[in-house]
Amino acid sequence: MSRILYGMNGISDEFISEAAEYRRHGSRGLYLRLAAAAACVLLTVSVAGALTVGRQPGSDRLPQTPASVIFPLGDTKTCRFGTIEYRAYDERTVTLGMKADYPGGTYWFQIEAYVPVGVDGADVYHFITPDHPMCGAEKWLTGMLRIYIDGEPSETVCLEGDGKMHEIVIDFGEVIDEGYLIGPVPIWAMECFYER
Amino acid sequence: MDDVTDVTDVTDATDAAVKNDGEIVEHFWQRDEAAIEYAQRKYGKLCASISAHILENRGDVEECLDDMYVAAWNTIPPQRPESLKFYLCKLIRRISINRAVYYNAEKRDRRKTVSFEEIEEETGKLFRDESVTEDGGFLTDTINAFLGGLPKGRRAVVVLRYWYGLPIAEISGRTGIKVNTVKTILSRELGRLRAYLIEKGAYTE
Repeated sequence: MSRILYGMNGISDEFISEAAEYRRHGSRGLYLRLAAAAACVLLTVSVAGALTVGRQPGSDRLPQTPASVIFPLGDTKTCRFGTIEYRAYDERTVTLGMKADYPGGTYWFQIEAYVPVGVDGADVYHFITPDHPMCGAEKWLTGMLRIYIDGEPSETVCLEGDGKMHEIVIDFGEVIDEGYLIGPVPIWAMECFYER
Repeated sequence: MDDVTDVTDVTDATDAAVKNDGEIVEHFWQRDEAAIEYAQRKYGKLCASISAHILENRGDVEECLDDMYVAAWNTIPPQRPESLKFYLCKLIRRISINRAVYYNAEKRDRRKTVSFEEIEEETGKLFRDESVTEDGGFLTDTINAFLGGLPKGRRAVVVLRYWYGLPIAEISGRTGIKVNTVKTILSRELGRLRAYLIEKGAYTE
């Protein structure tokens, strides 16, 4: 026990400072109150097609087609790096099909899905942009999600660029259990990005 | 310990005459004993608060503070900490934990806070000392790498609990995260830390 606590002693000053300031500037409670006001949540789903080369230094983050689209259930969207199918949703989960087309390539692409949040029954839908100040909430909330790829739990949605369609299930369980999101959780739109 | 400052307050003193960290460190380097006074004025309450989350007894906290200033005096130079605040915070944390462990090992009166005892229990369920295969820099580096991979909010919860030693209810109050969610985060992340340390060879099953 104590050796672990001793080991913690030398953690980065940045983390110590960040934790101290978290309540003032970055508490989830604050973000969620903002979320209630804005009634939106940004869910970021990343699909990596680069295992060997990965994200290269100095990469640019560029919007790709479709830049922003309404994404109805059952629809399929294709951008130059892959395909996304919106297969199903229920009270707790969203099911997507995803395919990354660049085998072992250097490209990486990201889908940002906007889901509506109903707080205290107020079903107000709103979209936010990737550079919206609310984006800080996204990391917190995605950290509470459970993501399964082809039935296997995964920390991140990271696909090999194998050209095959994979099933991605995003379980919003903890977010819903805590009342921050009221299901069902239809996805309204997606954006594709890539880094090179 | 009722008059200690907020554990996460950046500084104690607010007067403009308070020297900056670099100036205080320079006084240490010049072997000027005023350095202690400056450090005490600027970070004394903060360090007392950190110690008070580990040790319940006021006398113990004050003794740890004295030890901390001696340790700072003895280590600066050769050290030249970029942030005196975190340097002192780490010193007081280590000294206070040492004292708490001493009391525990010697079966003396358990002058640890309830919060710290809980932390020991939490970590003790998952981590056995004899299974920690790496100490010092490697262990810390591995923990740092793990923390670096966490989302900011979860990392803050972990650090507030296992570095600052705050009670769960206080973490909840500070962050706005529900108590049960704080518990869930701590439980999960401690388990993930264990798995990570095993993967990196810093801990054995």
